Amino acid sequence: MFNRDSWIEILQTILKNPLRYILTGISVAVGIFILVFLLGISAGLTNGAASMFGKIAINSMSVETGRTSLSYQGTKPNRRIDFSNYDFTKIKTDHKDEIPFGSAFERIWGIQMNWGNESGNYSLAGSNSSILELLKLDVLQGRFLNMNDENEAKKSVVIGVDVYKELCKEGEVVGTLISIGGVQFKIVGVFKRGENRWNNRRCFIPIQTFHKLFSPTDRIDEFYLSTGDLAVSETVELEEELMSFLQTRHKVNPEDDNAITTNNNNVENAKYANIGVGIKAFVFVIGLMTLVSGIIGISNIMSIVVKERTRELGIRKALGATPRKIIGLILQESLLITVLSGFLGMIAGILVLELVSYFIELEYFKNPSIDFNSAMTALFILIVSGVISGLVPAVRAARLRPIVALRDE
Amino acid sequence: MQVLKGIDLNIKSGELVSIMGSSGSGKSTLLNILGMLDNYDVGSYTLDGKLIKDLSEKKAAIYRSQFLGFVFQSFNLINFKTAWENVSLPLYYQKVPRSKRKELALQRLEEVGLLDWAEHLPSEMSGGQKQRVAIARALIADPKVILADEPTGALDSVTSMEVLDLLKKVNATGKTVIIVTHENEIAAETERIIRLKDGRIISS
Repeated sequence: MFNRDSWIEILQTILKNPLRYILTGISVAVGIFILVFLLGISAGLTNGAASMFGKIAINSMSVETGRTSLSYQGTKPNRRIDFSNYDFTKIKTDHKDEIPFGSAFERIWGIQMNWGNESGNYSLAGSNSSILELLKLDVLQGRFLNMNDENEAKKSVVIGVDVYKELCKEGEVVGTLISIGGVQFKIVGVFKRGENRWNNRRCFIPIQTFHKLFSPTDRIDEFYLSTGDLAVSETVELEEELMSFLQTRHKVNPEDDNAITTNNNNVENAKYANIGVGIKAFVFVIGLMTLVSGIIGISNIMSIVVKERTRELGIRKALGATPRKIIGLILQESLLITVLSGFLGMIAGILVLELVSYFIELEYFKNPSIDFNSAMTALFILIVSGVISGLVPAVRAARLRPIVALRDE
Repeated sequence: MQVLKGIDLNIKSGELVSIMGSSGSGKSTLLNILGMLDNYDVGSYTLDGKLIKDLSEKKAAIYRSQFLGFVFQSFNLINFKTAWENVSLPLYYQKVPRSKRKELALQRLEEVGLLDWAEHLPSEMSGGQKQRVAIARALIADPKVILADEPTGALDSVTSMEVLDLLKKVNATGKTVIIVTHENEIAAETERIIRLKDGRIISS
């Protein structure tokens, strides 16, 4: 069936009758195109959601200070709330079964840093080593802060990748000294956190060092807490307990939403996961409908083609074509057309996705590519359905008695 | 419906015969049975010593390509194939390689005087030329019998005679030629006339 001679025969038939094959081809190509495009868009939305969480551990929550907006127990509104080491230690001790690890976090938005002859203004954060996992930092060079740095309040610093690029240009920096606000620190590593430039224009030092050198008190701005393997509902309870503890301790009106805020990533992630499931179901339904309409289109056109070629097929039979040869001819044709136009549609879909990802930059829409397997599966399904839809008219054509096919109208 | 009612006919190898009859006389049915294009229910048909009855489609196709060459009233050339490609088509189904097919097809076209038209499409040819291409095609697989169904039905009288001369030349090479026609002038040129009426042979 698949020898060179029969391919020449088929190519000739196709090239001499371009219109009908173009019509079949278009319906296949459009089907695959829509499918690839939809899958890509859904992947883009899913990747977007994932990337928003790429910068923070899903099983974590953060607690942030702010200013009060309501008066309470004789205090005035617009009072700044400061957490302290006591709050952090108390929470960690009281909830040691629920919170496996956490980090306090305090920062200076801008501080002068010098390395060699270069200088610049960057953000400085005090934290402990757990922040590496909680904020999903990537260590590019050296290491992150460790227990030793914390316990001895060492002057160790891990610098952000943008700080590294601007001050140190290229090369090894681990072990060299950097001056931060006039104090010499030893660089122990370089980190990167996602693509956000604010995250990467920052340096981390142990919070103990931060308090000793840059803060008159042991003020803490924020807690990042891991929730381990708690269920989402349990993390919501934990969130409420922490809130009420902190509100009582800092004399905050329970109705005040601004003084202390929590951000439970477990809950946020669950929301996005639901959206992801919704998108997938939507694409699946649309894709299925596209595929079905593609299959109907192909089989429709194939049966018209066979009808139009009744006489030709009758001639072929009278000249010695066996039924198998007739079926082979039509199947090979539909196979060639579906494979060829399927590929074209797929390539067009991938190109459009590339264009989309080049021109559209949205936080919730990232890298709208289609994975090789689903593209191949879609193509395979369409090829199989192309062959099957060619099969019915092919068998009918093969059964046709030449005498009927050749009857003069 | 019973179309043929007791046909007792023997055509010898190398004969040139014509089958005549008005429409509805059963002449087309007879030709289709002879050509293995149609089946029959009662009786027997023997071709070159082989009983041709209740053949599978595949077997019929193989016998057709071995024994028979067809010439039709409406030529039945494939319109997107050139003259030589049309002529060579039966060989494609006998798995002859393409270059060999072309060589043989050009040879046959030369025999019917159309070598210069080898690369032309049927739409570029006159009726007589098309029928000569069809005869070349019927000859290419070197069959024993040529079955011609109203081969001159679509042609003017001059061209008709040319085509008939060609068929007579084919017959002269030893092939059996059976022509179905309703034209007396054509039938008169053959060695034997078989007349059909209402499904019976009235003279032969």
